Amino acid sequence: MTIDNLQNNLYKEGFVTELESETFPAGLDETVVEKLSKIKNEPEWLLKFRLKAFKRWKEMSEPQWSELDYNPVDYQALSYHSAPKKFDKDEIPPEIFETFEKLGVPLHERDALLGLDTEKPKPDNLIPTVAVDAVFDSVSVATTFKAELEKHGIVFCSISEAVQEHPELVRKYLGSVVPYTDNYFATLNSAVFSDGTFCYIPKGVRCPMELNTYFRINARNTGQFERTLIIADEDSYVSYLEGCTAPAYDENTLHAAVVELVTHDNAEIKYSTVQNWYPGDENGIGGVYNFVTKRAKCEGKNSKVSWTQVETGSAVTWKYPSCILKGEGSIGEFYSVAVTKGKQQADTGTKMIHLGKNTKSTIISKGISFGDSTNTYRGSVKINPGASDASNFTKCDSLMLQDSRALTIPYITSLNDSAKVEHEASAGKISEEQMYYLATRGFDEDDAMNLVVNGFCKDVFQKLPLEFAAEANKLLSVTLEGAVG
Amino acid sequence: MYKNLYSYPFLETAYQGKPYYKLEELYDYVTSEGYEKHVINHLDRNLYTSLNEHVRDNLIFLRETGLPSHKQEQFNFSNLNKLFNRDILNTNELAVSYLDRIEKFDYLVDPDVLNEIILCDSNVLASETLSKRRPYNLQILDISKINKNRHLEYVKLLDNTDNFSNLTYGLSRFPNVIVFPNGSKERFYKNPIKIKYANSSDEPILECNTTIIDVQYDTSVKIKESIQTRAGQMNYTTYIVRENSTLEIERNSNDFGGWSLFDSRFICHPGSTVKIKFKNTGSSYTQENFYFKISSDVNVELIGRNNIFKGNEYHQFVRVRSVDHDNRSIVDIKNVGDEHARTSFVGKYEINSTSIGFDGQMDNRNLMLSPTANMHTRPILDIYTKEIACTHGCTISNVDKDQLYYLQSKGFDKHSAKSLLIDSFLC
Amino acid sequence: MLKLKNYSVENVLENIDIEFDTGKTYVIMGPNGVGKSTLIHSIMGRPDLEVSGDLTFMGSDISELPVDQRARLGMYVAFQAPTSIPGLSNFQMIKQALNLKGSELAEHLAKFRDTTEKFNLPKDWDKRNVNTDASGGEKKKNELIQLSLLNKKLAMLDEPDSGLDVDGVKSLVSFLNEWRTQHNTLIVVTHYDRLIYDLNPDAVIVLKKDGVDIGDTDLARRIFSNGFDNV
Repeated sequence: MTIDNLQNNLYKEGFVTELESETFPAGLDETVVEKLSKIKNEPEWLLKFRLKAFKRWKEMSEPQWSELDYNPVDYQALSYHSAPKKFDKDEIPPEIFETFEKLGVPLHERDALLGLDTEKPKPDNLIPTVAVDAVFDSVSVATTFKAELEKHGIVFCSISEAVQEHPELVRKYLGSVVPYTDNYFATLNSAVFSDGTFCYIPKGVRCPMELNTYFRINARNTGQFERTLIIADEDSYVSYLEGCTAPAYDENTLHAAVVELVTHDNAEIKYSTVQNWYPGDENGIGGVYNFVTKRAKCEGKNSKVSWTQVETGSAVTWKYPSCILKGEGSIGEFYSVAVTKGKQQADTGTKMIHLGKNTKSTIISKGISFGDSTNTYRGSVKINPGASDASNFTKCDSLMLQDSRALTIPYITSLNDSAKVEHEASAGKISEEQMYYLATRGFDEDDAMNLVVNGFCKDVFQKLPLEFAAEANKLLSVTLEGAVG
Repeated sequence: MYKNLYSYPFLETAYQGKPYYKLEELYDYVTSEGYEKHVINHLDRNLYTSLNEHVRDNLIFLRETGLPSHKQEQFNFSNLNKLFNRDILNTNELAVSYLDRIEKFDYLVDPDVLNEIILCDSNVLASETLSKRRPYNLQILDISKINKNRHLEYVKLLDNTDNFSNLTYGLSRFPNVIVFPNGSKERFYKNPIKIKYANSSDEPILECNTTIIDVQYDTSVKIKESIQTRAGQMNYTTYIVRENSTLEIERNSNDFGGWSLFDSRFICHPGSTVKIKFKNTGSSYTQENFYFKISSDVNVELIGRNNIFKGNEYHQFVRVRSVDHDNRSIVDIKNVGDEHARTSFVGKYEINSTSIGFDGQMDNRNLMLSPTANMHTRPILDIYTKEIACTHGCTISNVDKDQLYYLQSKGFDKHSAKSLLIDSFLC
Repeated sequence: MLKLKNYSVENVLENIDIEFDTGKTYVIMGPNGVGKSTLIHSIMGRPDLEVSGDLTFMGSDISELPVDQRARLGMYVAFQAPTSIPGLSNFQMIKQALNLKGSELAEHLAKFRDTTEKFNLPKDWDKRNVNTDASGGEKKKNELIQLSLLNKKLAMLDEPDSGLDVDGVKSLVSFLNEWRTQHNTLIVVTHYDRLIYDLNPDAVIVLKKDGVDIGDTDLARRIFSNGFDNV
């Protein structure tokens, strides 16, 4: 079995769901933005926000500084809205329900147990541990356990709903971490964002379940522009996971999302992503362009945000989940495993901006590459003059399973002499010694490689919520099949 | 350099009444008919084309990696006048000058030093003894002494080292060449040659010292370099280290007030070894770059210990490009930044797909002594094959508080304790 | 159990004939660099060694089999310098190797912890990464723990005593005494006289530059008195 003929066979999420949908015709101009806002019944201030962003976007041009090489996106050839034909949220169309079931995402509250596996037998009195917001193309089609969470004062709903029911919160925080002027794709998103998750955890509340948003692209030639906003008020805690998949189309699909996180004093947000967008076929045809802006603002003292990501999909990944460490004593963490194969390209990393005293950041990035892929870690650590006694530790390792391209590009600047910054990186392959040692213990090549790679990723996988660590492990071994050699 | 100046005009047209020239004007000059005629008359058309390309690359390179804006006023292209008025390729002006004949360089000459080469104002000065058969037998060639074939050979060699170019290399006459002949294992090792880079003018000059140092086969050479910049100065030296040869360089740069750009390019043939130890204290603006193109079985060691004084700037770009198997490379650079010092380090390992067995390390450690210092580090790995082992590390921090306290408890006052720790850092 | 005939390893050993019987203990000695480790690893099937001749294990020719299959047939080698595998825990490796589930898993974990204690290793040894952040002696002990849990017929130990202190060697000997039975075979490469006498091997094999000498513990004694060359 060669890697090539495994590429497509392995992406079992590449199916298409046939159903009636309302899709805007292709093209983007002010009228499309207005139409989008109207269809969602948005208030005036939000329409203004979108239009301001759109105006700005027209003046900007795509950044050229990355190592990425991709076919240009024709923004006029995409549709900016696609939703299953009007349905009642209490009665999810069977096609959608089946789709999510196939993907292992529990949409009915009774099915939510230890995460995503709906095949196990279900005891009756099991306490739910995962609440899900399912987004199908441009709309959220289901949100489980909303009522249960409301009892704790937690708001967990789609962002469109949040605009209607909690406009003051949305208005306060939208664009506060990623301003609409931030970068080309964030600006585009600010103009045409579709749906995403809004989450607010009130003071002192520890969210009792894992919150999970699952994004599923289905329609062809549409752009996906999720917008997620999570706010953790003082002394609160939430663990959030984002999952995503898409059909195996021949055209590239653009996914330009924006995620904003805000933590107040002593609050903590744990944000995990298992990204499995369609990576394109062995010749690099098709695949999702994953151009995402994710940023956290640790506003409050001693607040903490940790980003954990497992990136195995998408044709081109361009994202830097970052932390602005403003509050004194705040902590930012970034744990990442990025796997590239075939013709995939990833340029990912993080930015840790230390503003406040005693702030701390930890970066652990593991890149695994094979095939003709390019795997780049690009990270920035900036210690501003006010960040006395700040500290950063970064470890980037590249494991090349075959000759591919591995890049490590760290930018480290310190403007404060009491801070400590430490960065280590390594690149190489699985040593023959390790393979031989494991062979003497009875492991064949594939198993041995899996063990070594799992060991390589362990520091990152340990940071995932338990339920998803198992899924990530499985995803990793499926992705790696046949990579030996 | 971590600033990309592409977006703003480099060099305004006037500053404090002195004329300055935009790079575009410079480009216009070197692509003008007059310049073309000069080059072709003295050399040949092929060379003109490649020089032209060099110049164009130079301009782009300098524009992108050139001086930060607040230093522009010190980078005075007023010497352009000289260029317009005189024929820089007029080879009659050149000759290898013997130390006792050139008065204007008197101050640079130490009569007791017999094995010294002085590179000054793009001239090469060397004592007579260096070219004598015993003990040195160095070939010191300027453009008048180099034959056409040799010349073209060098041009080809330099061309092949992938797009590296420098503004002044293209502008000034063909580099001066110093050749260390084959098979000398001891001569140049036991008696290291001293090379001094200097400029005689009180104003920064456009003409830099462009030199090729060619270490031929099976030879071991040790050089002691010193750089003295009174005003601004650009030096560009290409070191060719051929098969099975060794080149060791000890370089000291001293700040005499001027700014300094020094590009060192190393072309390492199979089986060669290059070891460089350098020290720099920075200056109003220093850019010290090292580029290595290494073929196979090459061993490179680049060790820098830079104590950047108050208010000085020190920027460095190191690139090691491996194109064949079993190369080894160690880059170990330590910088100390005092008050208002600005330092940056950009290091790049480019390992292509045929570099099997590459073993590389890159370390940049920075000691930041003051809150007004500004230190930046960017070690980059760009690797195309898995058959390698490569690591890099960097740190930025101040003197360790615990160590400071330890020494103070032993009776050292704060200042001495700090000095001791800085010295031990720079070991 | 194991038979080598006309067996050569390029640049190291030439045309040796040795038979290792089931239920017996063998010691391999020889000057440094003569090829003791190479011999062991060549039997295990290490890929970069050029081997020719006959190699039979439990009656079948294994010369074409890859390393992991030889391991699964019941062959084991304890490395002289065990390789580190960051991120893979000691017990996890055993779990995967034996494909342990359910009650078997719990049983083996208990046994693992037991053996760990006998060897005086830290309590969290099962969670420590394989041969990472461990002293030389700890790594050697780890090799023995693996042997105790994996079902093996032939154990080849490459200098198991190096790195162990007096107590460690005592544990080693008692462990090996427990391990060896009528149904398995033990081969130990060592320089240490006490270990040889304590093991009381059935045969002592001496590898020399020009060939192989096979004898008993007397041969070993003579070597210890007079050196390798004078025997």
